Amino acid sequence: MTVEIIGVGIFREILQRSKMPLEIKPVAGNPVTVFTVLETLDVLYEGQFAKELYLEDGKLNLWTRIMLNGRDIRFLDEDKLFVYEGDTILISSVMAGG
Amino acid sequence: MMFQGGWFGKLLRINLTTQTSMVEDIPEELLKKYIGGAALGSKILYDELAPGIDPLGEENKLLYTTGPLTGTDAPSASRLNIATKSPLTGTVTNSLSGGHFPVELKWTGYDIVIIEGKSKEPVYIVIKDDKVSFKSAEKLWGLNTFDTQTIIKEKLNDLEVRISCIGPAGENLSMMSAIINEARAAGRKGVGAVMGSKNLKAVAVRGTNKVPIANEEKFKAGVKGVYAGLKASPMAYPVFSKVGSVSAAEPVAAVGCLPSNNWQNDKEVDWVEKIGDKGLAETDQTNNSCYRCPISCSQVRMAKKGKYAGISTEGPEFETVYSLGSGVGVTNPTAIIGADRLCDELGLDTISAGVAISMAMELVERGILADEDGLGLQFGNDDAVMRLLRDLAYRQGQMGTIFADGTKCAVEKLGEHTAHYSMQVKGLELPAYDVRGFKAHGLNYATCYTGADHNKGYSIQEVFGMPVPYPVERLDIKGKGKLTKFNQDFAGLFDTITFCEFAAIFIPDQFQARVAEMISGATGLEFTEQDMWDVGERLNNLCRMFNLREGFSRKDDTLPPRLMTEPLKFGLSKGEMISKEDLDFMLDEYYEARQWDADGIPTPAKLTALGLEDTIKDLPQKG
Repeated sequence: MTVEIIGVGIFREILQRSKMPLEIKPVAGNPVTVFTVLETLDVLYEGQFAKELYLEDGKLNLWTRIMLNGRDIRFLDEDKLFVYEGDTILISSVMAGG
Repeated sequence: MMFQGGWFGKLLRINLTTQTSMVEDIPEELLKKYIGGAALGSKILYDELAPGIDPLGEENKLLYTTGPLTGTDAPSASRLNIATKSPLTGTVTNSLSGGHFPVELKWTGYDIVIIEGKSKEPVYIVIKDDKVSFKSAEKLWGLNTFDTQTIIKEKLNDLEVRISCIGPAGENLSMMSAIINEARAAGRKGVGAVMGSKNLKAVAVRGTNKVPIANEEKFKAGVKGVYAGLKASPMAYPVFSKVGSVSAAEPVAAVGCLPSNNWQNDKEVDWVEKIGDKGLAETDQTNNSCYRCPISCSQVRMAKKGKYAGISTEGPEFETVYSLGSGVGVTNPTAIIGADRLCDELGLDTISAGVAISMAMELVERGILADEDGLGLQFGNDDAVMRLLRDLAYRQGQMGTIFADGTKCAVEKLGEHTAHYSMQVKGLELPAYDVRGFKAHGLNYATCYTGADHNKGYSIQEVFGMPVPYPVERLDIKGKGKLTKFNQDFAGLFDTITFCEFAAIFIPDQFQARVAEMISGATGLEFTEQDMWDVGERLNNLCRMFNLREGFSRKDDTLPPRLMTEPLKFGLSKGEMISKEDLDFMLDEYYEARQWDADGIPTPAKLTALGLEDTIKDLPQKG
């Protein structure tokens, strides 16, 4: 399946573009979640995603934000974290401006 | 009263009618409670302006207020607040700007300058330490803001003098006119028209009084804390120093919330690539810093090619990239540079002017209004933007006459059938965030004491993902009342101590503590972190009382009809809007968080707790 990835801030720099399609190959019996997508990206970009996304204790860095179809995943129930064909995942470092 | 430090404890009161000035002591109790900047300015206006006065009449006052950190070594803390009753909104207002003018003003030895009355002929004021003089501005009237500053410097034979002035827009009383301090704008709410209504072209200042610091050790500890906080920030130096405020375009556009074509957002465009930091990267660029600011965010950009080649501007800031870019459908970054520069020359608020032009464009495209002057008012036509900007400032031509005072006034002239296209709250045109996708930011637009002002309650949690005081879901409406109170009181403090908003949001979890340290050190008085929160809350309650006294009520805490009835059409916020029911829900929450009643009226208990007992007599009578 193909999902759209949007990178903001440091993640745009890692992707070297603001958005890109990402092919995910589901493994039988394992539904694809947001975290599957993040792992795929991390492999593709040789650890750069995990370095920015996770703290040393493995928890998500509060100063980053991941959205699935516009919704912050921190506020989604576990059963809402599944990813389907055509979904959009936005990954952002904290930003400023105005 | 001798102050130990921070404040001089003096205000300069200038009467333009009589061309006289006098110096007054500022009571210590007043300074302790209201500190400076926005809170002190609002308090003086509350006490000295009779309800219902005409903002462009002789009775209105124009206040330049500084804070106890202005002109000290405190980083990012030397801004200027201009307080007055706004002609655009009818509310009390505070409009701030940076640069170097604020420091020079403070060094004259005054914390506040109050300008009253109206001169018979155009004048400018020169304040050199304790000497005040009035000079004829007959030959300056009509000049743009940059020429005005150059000529005043030549006349005074002083290249170091710092100048605050208006351009043709302020002279012609456009309610969208700004006061330009060097190249910085105290841009919003028509403060330039107030200056113009007094026949005052400029204020030139030169000072030699060093601001005393009462407790160097404590002050330096606070300063060091701010520097350390900025250094640790993931945004301050890595992003903001390099790109400036335009960096906001990326997170806002990524979720489909950069308004375009008068908030119709009817076309999918990659705005960041076209006119965001990517688009603007095609221009020559250098930094310019406000006094004692280590971040130096302001970008001076020059167009390299095309019809705008050679034009440079300090900016454009993110707001202008929206208002004179996506908002009017312009995708050429050099055209935005040209329009930004023109607004600074004319002394126009880029946000209100851009939104007014975008409304005119939509009315023409929909066939509601004929483009009688043949400006070519279609989205994307940058030539039309440049032509109409001039017409707005000179209040000339069909469109210039209709829109010179903003979109709310335009509706009054054109008829209620055009109200749907007027993107303003309390008369103030909307800044660059489509709040259909940022609910607390929308609640701030609805409730902010001076109309839709993004700087007075910025939802950094929703827009930028800052997890302070806690992470939030931008699309939820629940919990946004409490959050908006937090954001508005946070902003109330930085407006009061004239600290830069950007620097403040880079240290959001320690801002109050660092400020308390610095102010305690500077003044020799003891301020706690809680005192700092109280200052912000007091400001918001005092301004609410000012506006209630002017006749504002819950019905004015609203949003433009378009945002409440038209869902977003594309992107990650598709389908979102803030319905009337959503807004009512958030307003109820907000009033409760503020301890106001269901009509949005502060309770006597709240006012008393904040030391605002003297305003209780002005509470609206019910029944």
